[in-house]
Amino acid sequence: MKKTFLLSFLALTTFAVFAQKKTTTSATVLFDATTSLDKAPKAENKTVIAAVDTKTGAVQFEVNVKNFAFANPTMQGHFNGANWMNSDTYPSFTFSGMIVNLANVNFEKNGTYTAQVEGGLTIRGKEQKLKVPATVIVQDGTITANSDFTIALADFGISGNPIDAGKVAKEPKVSVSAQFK
Amino acid sequence: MFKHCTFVYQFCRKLKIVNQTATTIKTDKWFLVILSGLQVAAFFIPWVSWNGMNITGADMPLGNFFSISEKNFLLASPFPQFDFALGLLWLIPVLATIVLFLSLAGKRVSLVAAVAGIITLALITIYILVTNELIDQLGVSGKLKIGIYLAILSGAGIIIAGSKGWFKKIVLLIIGPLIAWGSFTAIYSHFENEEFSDTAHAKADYTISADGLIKEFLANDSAANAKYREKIISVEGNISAVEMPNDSTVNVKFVDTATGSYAIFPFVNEPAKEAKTLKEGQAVSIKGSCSGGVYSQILGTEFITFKRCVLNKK
Repeated sequence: MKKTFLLSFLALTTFAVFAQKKTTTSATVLFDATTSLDKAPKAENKTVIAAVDTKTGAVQFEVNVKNFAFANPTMQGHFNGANWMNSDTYPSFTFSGMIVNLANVNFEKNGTYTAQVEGGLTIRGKEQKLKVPATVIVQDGTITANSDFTIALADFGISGNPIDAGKVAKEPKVSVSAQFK
Repeated sequence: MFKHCTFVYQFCRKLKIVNQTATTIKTDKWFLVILSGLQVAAFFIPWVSWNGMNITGADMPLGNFFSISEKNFLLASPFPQFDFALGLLWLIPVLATIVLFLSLAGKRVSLVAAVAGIITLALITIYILVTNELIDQLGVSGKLKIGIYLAILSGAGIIIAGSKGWFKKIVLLIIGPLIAWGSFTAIYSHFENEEFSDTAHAKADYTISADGLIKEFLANDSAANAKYREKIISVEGNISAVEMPNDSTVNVKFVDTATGSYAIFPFVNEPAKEAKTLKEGQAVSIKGSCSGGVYSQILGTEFITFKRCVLNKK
């Protein structure tokens, strides 16, 4: 009897721990490197995997680089090419971090919160530390998180004449959106 | 370019004078011999330089011209499937050599000289336009080198010396650059404004069941990626989940229940309106561009993603 109770307790505890981690396979990342000279380097990825642990504040994102959909085929080819994202060798972007002001975000109560997320963004195999603000909206158990920030391409070893000439933004805008149910 | 025009103009004036003398034929012959020899030599010395890299006339038929521009500046050959045709540009030194020998033999060379000159001037125009593009759009340090000046001199020279009548000479001088400029402008505009064609009208490279697709990726991720990536694929199966992250997006998933691995198809804009009616368990056929499969560290499963998806009509 004692053993059954202990096992049941362990199972419930384990379930509770897992239940704190929410995931989605339909997060969105918008990458916008457009400039006044060129409107083509802009794409969206609608199949991003994201996870948030409401207990610990751990946040993770994982992106299949080749699923950024550009309108222009040539630009999509350039984006995935060896000089840019080199997606044959580095097929994923990843982000792994923490909500550093977790005390200010109540995932159990409806409301809009500003979270500070700090962690490592890995592009082309290079990790850079990142600290970005995110808006977290909690509505009847559904958590929606949005964040807009910029990245410096040079930090990830991406450089070249198209960037120097202003055809591609040196610091593209990145917009991330995820909904967890 | 002004310098080039002045030089050609003075050169033409000089020819006009010798044409009026009794030594016309002899003078033209030696002009043609010298100019055709110069044209052969000029073809193999640098015409332009991009960031210090010298590009000769011969680099176009050798395939180096576009491989250098693509590797360094992301400016690829507009029609790589026709790159083999660039070999025809070897006609420039070949025809110039024929002009040289025919002139030495005292034969008529007007047609051969005209073709050699037209192709040379057309190729020069392409070099100048591409170099200008690299300078203006990509900030490349581009320069015209001695080879291109010699090619202009020899190309224009053999047209002028090899043909008769000023109207004909002028037409032959401008026809090559005009065609090259027109083609370049049309191609550049086409690629700058090109968009992916509608997937609904694209022919599927493969048709496969969702279950079969996922199993193929699970069995050999590398081989499946090599086979399916950037190909249009029709996938059939029963929907495992429909996710709507926002009003304009519907993601349809097929999940392998044994492993949790999945294939996901985002519908956006117009196709999303139709996809909104889809339900879990429903049998569907979807066509999209496969972006390949990646192992997810977060989920511990393989996920295969698609873009530009549409529902196949029954």
